[in-house]
Amino acid sequence: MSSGTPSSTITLTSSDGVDVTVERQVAERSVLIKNMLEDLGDSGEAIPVPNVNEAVLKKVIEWCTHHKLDPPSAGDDDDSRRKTTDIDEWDQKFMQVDQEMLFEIILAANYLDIKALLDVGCKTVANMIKGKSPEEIRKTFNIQNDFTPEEEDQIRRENEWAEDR
Amino acid sequence: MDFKSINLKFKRPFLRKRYPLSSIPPEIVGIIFTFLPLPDQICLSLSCRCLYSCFKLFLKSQNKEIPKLLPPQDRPILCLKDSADKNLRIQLLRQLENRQWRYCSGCWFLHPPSAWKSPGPTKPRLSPYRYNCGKWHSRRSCMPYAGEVDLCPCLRISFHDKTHLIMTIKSAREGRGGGGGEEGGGYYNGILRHPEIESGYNFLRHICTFTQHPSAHVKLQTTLSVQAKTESLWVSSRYYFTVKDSQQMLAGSFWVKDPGTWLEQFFTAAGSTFYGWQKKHNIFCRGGHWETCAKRTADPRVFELIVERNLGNGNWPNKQWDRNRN
Repeated sequence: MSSGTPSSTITLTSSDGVDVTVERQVAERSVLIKNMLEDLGDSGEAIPVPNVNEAVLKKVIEWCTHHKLDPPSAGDDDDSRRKTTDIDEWDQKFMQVDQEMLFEIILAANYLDIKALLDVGCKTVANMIKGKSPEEIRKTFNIQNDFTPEEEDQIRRENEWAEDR
Repeated sequence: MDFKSINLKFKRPFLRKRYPLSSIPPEIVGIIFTFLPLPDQICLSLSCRCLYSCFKLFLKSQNKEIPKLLPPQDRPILCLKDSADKNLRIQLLRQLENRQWRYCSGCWFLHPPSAWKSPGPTKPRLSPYRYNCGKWHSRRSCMPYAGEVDLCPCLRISFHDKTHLIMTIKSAREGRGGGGGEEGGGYYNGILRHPEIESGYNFLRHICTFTQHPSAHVKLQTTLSVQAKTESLWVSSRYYFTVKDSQQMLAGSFWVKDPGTWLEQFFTAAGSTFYGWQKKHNIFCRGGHWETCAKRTADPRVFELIVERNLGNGNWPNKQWDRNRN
């Protein structure tokens, strides 16, 4: 482990082999990277991020840069953060990406352990679901309906939402 | 230090790009569920088996299960539109409507579309048995094919509601008590529960205000009474309009010549679907002429209109009811 003042930047290597240099403070929005740096020290070596490609990594870094001065998020037991789907204006614009990128950002946030970004991503998905029927949700997310019509009817009847007349 | 070896333990979650939502890890789906109201959680879970399984796991973690979610509820005899819109079960049922199932506002259940086909002249009678029947207000009594009628911008009634209202007023007239309480086989939504009496005349009255229109404020007094001879329910709607600019609101004589269209335009402009006058029929006003109903008051910004409607008796089919239904 190296000693002395940690360097102000670190390098991350994306899954497609691209090195991205980033402020240490920005990278430490990721609990995974923060813990790695704390546990293993900063050798100046590039840190591989094998689950995140360059495009997604750059998006994540963009979000972390904008939010680098935010207070650290509370732990898993903080239910209050889950009570609203309000998203601030900058984050809304940030999340205006295609669905594949949206889910990649969510998966990257989960992998890198960036709870606030994970929440913003999940809130964006939740807002796309609200008020829609199951059929509309399938269309929105290109989900294949693997229930048979009989099963769908049975679920409605079993749960006393539907009744034959 | 070997970052590469450390990172190997973090395996990339399986992601099928065609169906990402149904393929993301259950713990992330669980987070999405936490951000959704219950009706949306249920609809998401019904989109495919995988998400249904995720939802069951999510509920299990909260010691809940699907059959206990949004169970059947007794519908009030009169249900304010606003409270119906906020009711989670109703929200769910509306979202679950499809070709096979339609939402029934008369019982808060889904029924097959065939339930909206009129069975013909089956005549529900206003018998004492019906009056005392504990199941009177239940889903067994719903008549989806009969549709609904707006009483005022905040109240809409079913055919079943109408027959209950008739009995409530009749029983008060006959000295048998209100009939609108829980003991009478149904419960009211906090309004119009006890008939009032004036000069021996029993009626139910509801007062509300409509403030959504940008140019006018409306106070609306709705009085329900039963004609003794025909046992028909009569609705008298007394509108008190307070307009900001009477010249602009009442330009020309259009509103006098075609008051139904004028009222419709007035409420539509305010984003309301309220329809409190007979379809394809002239509005019947006390005194027989619309002009006599549109009374100007001392204040030129205030005028009063009265619209009377006959909603018919408790027999089915019912022409009066049909003329007024939405």
